[in-house]
Amino acid sequence: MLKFFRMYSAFIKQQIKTLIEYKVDFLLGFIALGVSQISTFLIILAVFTQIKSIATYSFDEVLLFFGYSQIIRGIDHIYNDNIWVTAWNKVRDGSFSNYLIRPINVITHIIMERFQFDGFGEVVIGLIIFFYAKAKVGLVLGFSGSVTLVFFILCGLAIYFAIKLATCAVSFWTVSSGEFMSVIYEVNTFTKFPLDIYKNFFLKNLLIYLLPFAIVSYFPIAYFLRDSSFLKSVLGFDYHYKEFMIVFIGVVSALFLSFSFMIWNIGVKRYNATGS
Amino acid sequence: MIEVSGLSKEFKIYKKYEGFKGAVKSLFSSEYSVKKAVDDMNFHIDEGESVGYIGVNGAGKSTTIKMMTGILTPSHGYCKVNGLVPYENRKVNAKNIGVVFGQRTQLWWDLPVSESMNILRDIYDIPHAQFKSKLGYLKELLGLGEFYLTPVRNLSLGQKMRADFAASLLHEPKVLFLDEPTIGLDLLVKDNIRSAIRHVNETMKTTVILTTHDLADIEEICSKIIVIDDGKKVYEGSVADLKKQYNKYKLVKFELKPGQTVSNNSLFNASSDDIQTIVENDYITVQFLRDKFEIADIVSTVLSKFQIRDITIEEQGMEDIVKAIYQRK
Repeated sequence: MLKFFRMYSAFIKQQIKTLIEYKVDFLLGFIALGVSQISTFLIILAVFTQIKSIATYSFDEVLLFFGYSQIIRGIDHIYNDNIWVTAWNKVRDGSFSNYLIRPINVITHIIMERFQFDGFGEVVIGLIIFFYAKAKVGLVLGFSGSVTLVFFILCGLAIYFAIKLATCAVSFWTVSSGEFMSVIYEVNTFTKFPLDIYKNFFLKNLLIYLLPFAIVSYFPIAYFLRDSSFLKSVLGFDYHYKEFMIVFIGVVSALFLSFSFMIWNIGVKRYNATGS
Repeated sequence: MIEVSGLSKEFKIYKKYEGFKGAVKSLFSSEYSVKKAVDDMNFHIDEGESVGYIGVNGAGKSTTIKMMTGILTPSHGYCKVNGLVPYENRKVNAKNIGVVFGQRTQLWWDLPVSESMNILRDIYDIPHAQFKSKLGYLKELLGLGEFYLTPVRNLSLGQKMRADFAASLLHEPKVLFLDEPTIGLDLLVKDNIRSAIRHVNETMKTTVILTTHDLADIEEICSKIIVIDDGKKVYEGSVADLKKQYNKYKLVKFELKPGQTVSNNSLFNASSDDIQTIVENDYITVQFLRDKFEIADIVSTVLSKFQIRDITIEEQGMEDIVKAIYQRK
């Protein structure tokens, strides 16, 4: 583990140097991301000047969902960006082979090779919105609430990770899966808002069970904002204890994570068999 | 050290049709042919040997290397490197081997050479003392000092190759796989790399397996040669044996002073297999079996009968030898 961070830090240091070298490039990327964040924020603002609430959620509550989802998306963006490069190019140009001749885990190797500073923009904006909204809503987490929140964040990151890994693994069959990955990844946009606003049965269940982005941010925040009756309205079944939500989120994340590892391993085997 | 037995690799090649219409057609067709990239390969390499693994483009060299390094899984048969099956014990095997691909660097594009080396130290768990002494040795051997702090993307091909080669040796691998390590390099760098390979092979008993199209690499580095064609082994033997076996003939070419007439085939009285004389304009070419004739006799015979302007003596080179093997199939 220590070894991993030592290697990781070597890449991070280098990326900072590159950042300084290409200041303008970084600044532009940073600004572009910021603009897209702020524009989403402005859309929410615009919607709420017309109506007071969406599907029982007040403006501040919606902001809480938005901020929280940005934080997780941003963290994922920071540490897990090289998987995009892998999906687009590594199988196509054969450089995936380089990972296979090293005595360390391939996924670890992929992750440590790149540290994406752009993601900090998302995290910072997410944090500001989250804490602003949290204060306005009057949400107090306390110790056990904070621990639960950390658990939820880890689960959310696991889901992002699982979805990206599984879609990246598709490139072992299709040679390049960057396009596919970005289509799937963009589905996360839906989860910037509470799931209740999507009345479409398929969309709702897609986001819970198939591409469980709803597990990333909707269920965690709804857990803190609502009582157990919300479970019934969304999932269609009723549990007396809302703590069931913690179990549900944990189990779905674990399932998806192991499922995506499985696809990944099958894909690597296939790469071993065909070489491209 | 390396054991290859019945090793085969088959690829499915889906049938493709020409043009856009053809592309659509091949999308729905599932016809394929099986291409045997490596076909029932058997050989054995001892510790400390340096082996040239050669063949024409597409003969299956790289596929074999990929199976021995754990990148590809064979369709049939097996190979063992240092007692391990590489594609089953990928990570353990990776610690025992060093790999260099001449066509593709394995260093990190944006990092300086120095940082790449430090990361490799962590990846391979190299103890600090070993790392330090090894790095010092390699820096000197390959002259890395002048570009040690330069990012890899700014290096010339020759510098990149030297850095790549050093990187593959940091963890003191027992076996070194070199896939076209001298491709595209200038004479000086080639020389540097070759002597470095030889040095490592001799001083550390590192087993070396090398593919190349430059036969000078083989002559200068290898003790043994394996020639493959169409995935099959067509020759295996020591480089010295190979030279002896094929290097039977010598060629002497005489340039005559103008105005002399030569009566053909009257020069030497021997069966035509042992010696041949070809007369062309002002040139006489004599090809003879080297263990049946002395070159001095040939030269003096010709000199006694004609006035000669120039003499050149040619030996069959490695290239002719290997060409003969390639074409023999």
